[in-house]
Amino acid sequence: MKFNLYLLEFALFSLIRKGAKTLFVFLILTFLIFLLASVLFISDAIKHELNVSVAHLPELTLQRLQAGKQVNVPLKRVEPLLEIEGVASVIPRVWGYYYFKVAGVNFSVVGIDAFEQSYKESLQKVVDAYDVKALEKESGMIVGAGVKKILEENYYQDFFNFVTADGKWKRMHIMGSFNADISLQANDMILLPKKSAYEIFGMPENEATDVVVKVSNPEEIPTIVSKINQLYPDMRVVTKEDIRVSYQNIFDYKSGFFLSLFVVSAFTFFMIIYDKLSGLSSEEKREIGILKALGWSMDDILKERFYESFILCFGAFLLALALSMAYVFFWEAPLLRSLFVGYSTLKPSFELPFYFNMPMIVLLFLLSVPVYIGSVMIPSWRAAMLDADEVLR
Amino acid sequence: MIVLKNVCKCYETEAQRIDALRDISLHVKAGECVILKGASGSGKSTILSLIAGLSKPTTGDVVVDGKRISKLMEPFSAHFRRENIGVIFQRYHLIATLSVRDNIALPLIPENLSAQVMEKRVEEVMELCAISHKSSALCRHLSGGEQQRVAIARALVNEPKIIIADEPTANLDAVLSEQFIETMYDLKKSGVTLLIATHDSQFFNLLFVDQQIELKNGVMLS
Amino acid sequence: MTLTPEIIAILMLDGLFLFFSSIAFVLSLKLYWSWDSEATTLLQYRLEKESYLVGLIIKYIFMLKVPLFLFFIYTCDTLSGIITGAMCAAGVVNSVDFGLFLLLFKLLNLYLFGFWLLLHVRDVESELQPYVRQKSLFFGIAFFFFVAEIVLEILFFTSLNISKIVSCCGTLFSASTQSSLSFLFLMENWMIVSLFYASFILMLVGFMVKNGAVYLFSNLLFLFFAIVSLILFFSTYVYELPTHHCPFCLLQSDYYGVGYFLYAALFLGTFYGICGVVIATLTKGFILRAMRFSLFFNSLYVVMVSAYVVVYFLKNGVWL
Ligand SMILES: Nc1ncnc2c1ncn2[C@@H]1O[C@H](COP(=O)(O)OP(=O)(O)OP(=O)(O)O)[C@@H](O)[C@H]1O
Ligand SMILES: [Mg+2]
Repeated sequence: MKFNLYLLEFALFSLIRKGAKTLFVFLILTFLIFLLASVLFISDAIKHELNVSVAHLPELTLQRLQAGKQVNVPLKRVEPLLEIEGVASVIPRVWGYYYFKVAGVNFSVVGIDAFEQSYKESLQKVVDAYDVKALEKESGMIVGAGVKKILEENYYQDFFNFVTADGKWKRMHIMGSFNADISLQANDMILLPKKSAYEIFGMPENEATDVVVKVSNPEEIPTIVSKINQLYPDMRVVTKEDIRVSYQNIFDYKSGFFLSLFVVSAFTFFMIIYDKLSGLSSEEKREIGILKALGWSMDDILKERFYESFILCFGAFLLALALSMAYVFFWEAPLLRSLFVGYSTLKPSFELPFYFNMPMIVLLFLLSVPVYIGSVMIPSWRAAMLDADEVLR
Repeated sequence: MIVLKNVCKCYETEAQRIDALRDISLHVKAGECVILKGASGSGKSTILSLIAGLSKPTTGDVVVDGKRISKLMEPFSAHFRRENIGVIFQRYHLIATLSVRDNIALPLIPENLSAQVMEKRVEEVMELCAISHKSSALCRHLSGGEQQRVAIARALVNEPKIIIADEPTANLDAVLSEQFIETMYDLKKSGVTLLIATHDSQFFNLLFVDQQIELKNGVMLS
Repeated sequence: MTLTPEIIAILMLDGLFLFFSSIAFVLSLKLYWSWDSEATTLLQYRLEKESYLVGLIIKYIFMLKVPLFLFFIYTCDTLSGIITGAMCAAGVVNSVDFGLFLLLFKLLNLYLFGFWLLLHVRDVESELQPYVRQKSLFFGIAFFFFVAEIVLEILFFTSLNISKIVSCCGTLFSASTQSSLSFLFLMENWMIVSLFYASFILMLVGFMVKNGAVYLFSNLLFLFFAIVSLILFFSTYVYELPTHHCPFCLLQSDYYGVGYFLYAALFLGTFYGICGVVIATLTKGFILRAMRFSLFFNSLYVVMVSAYVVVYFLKNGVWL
């Protein structure tokens, strides 16, 4: 059977002839698909970014738990950990959050050490670029781009006064700032010498917040984990995989929750509107009657209607896709992004990396086009089965 | 060619039952010209729509060209109509927002012909009905007589064996009606079967009319 | 319960299908009881139009079901990333007790809907639509299978538990005793493979003598042995690993998604071989055409799987 181009052409002109009604449906449809696409693009981009940053994480992070709460790890545990076979390095970390009351945001404060390898490559690059010893001497710090912006807004041009755990002022000079490639994580970060970090947090210097373990062969992770568990039963071992899964879950959940709410409400709304619109005008009824009298079968009319809705829907789909790509990747998704990165006002200022894949387009297609086609199916059938004898009377 | 056997058609609405046709039997041979006449509401259009397969009789049989179209189901009855029957409506029923050419091409769309054949057929009937000079004008900009000619062209474009016309001259003046009758005469000469429902007296004493059937309240009088 | 966008899409479409297929079901029942092609009643004219709607709905569902089946597998594949232990769709499907049933129902329903559509095509080809009552009855029954599939699918996605540790395909499709499929591995490879080729030869014979019954029977056998031999024998040649037996990993891009082609060929071949031949017999249609279609795709399948073995042998000079 040859594809009937005339019918397609007729459908296209019939859409144009309907004018305002077509435009209205087209715009609503475009808007709905646009929202849907934007949400998916944003969540996928974030997931992608997280995956990339997780890939740089050390294989194992050890936290000490006491009464179910995370507590500091004594530094003397580092040596025994290093002796476990297969462990390449053990890095104690000193880090935490510092709440900046005036701006109402949290900074992540990370202690760095001149003699220690950093636990993350990107961090190491930043550390390498500065003289850590000089930082120690002059009580300086390096801040992420987002932090710098916030501080400047609050008139801290080249230093910042931390309030330590004892309630004293601790002045730190801003020696530089960085724009890390993985902006999501580094944006709210402050790097300062470990000594200063201990002071600000009021932590004893023979402890660390947690310990990071690098493993030479990933295959050995399960054995190493069980050995660590034997050695220190109070330590929880978080693997890279665990982190990745939990991140993915958070974002799947967030986008999923939003999506389901959205899909249900948007499309019911749409159905209601469409139902109101799809009542055939007497002009349309007459037209169908004429066509049937001229020898069009129900099949032809259904096909024509199907082409109409497909053109409309596919056009809206493509347009919405283009729009949402521009909106998310070019304009950085104003408004919508805050839905996903709500934990700190600092974090929304990250950049969304361009990330685009085929399965996602398929997903988007499945979420939108079948629903529309389904919603026009019964009205089209009603139109096609109209009695044609009315035109002959 | 066309046989109606004891055809009854009744419309059932909530309020009442209307017997539009009661026990109609008629026989039309190929190439004949038949006039259906009768007062308004007597059932002329109903007979035509039964013959065209647009509606189905309540009882009885309609056989056209050997096919029981009263029992023909959807895609086949449409197919049959497309191949064999051309319809001219009372109010022309052109699609106002399409051009003359597009209106005439409407019956050919489901056929999915090649572009050349389609173009050729449309040109031919436009020539025949003397409407070529308006081929790309929108139908709503046409005069009544021009619309009539487009309607005829559209009915002829699928080269039907049977032409059904429902009060074709109701909206035309005497001169245009004359022209229409001449076109019908030409068609009859080329062997087309004509069925014309009308109460225009101009038709009643034409020489080429083979049968005149008078209806009254759904019953045949002669 | 996890709500990834993929799962939402599937669940939403399930809801849509349920809605439309219920309409089709009710109409089918009506058609079955009241259809009388000789009647000239208003009811009959209405039914003729409604039978159109049934066809429309089922076409719509089938058209989406085919890509959705692949999408389902794909979704399970992506879920294997967040479900501990799962390496591919196999682990995810098996993380729930009835996972395998769900998959079987999905496949079965593809055959059933396809069968209905074939019957429908034969039906509307004829001016009298002689099979309306048969196809309505058929759908009336198939509807329950379809609902079962949807219910299972909803249960499946709502009871997926990310924190539960599942086994990967390596243990599922192995001879180890705890796997539910271990009984398959009791059979010798050479036996299964020769049975597979034997059923194909039987099919060829059936084709040559143009015997529908033989052809149909050989197709049923062929379908069964094709799947078993794929798991036991042919898949190892695709992976070039003697211990890897998973029928799902074939779908992954590491193997160029060859699984999609294999399964498509196998499905089309056996579909025409089983449903096509049944329909052709019932409706006195062109049985040869169905057989030819079927044979083409089945041969394609045989050639594809055999090629993997032969190429491996040519390259390495040994059998796995
Ligand atoms: N769909 C319908 N429902 C109810 N009654 C109908 C319907 N269609 C036609 N009728 C009735 O059938 C009768 C015959 O109608 P028909 O259109 O055949 O008349 P007609 O002879 O063509 O009249 P006119 O000359 O006015 O066109 C009328 O009484 C009309 O009211
Ligand atoms: Mg009339």
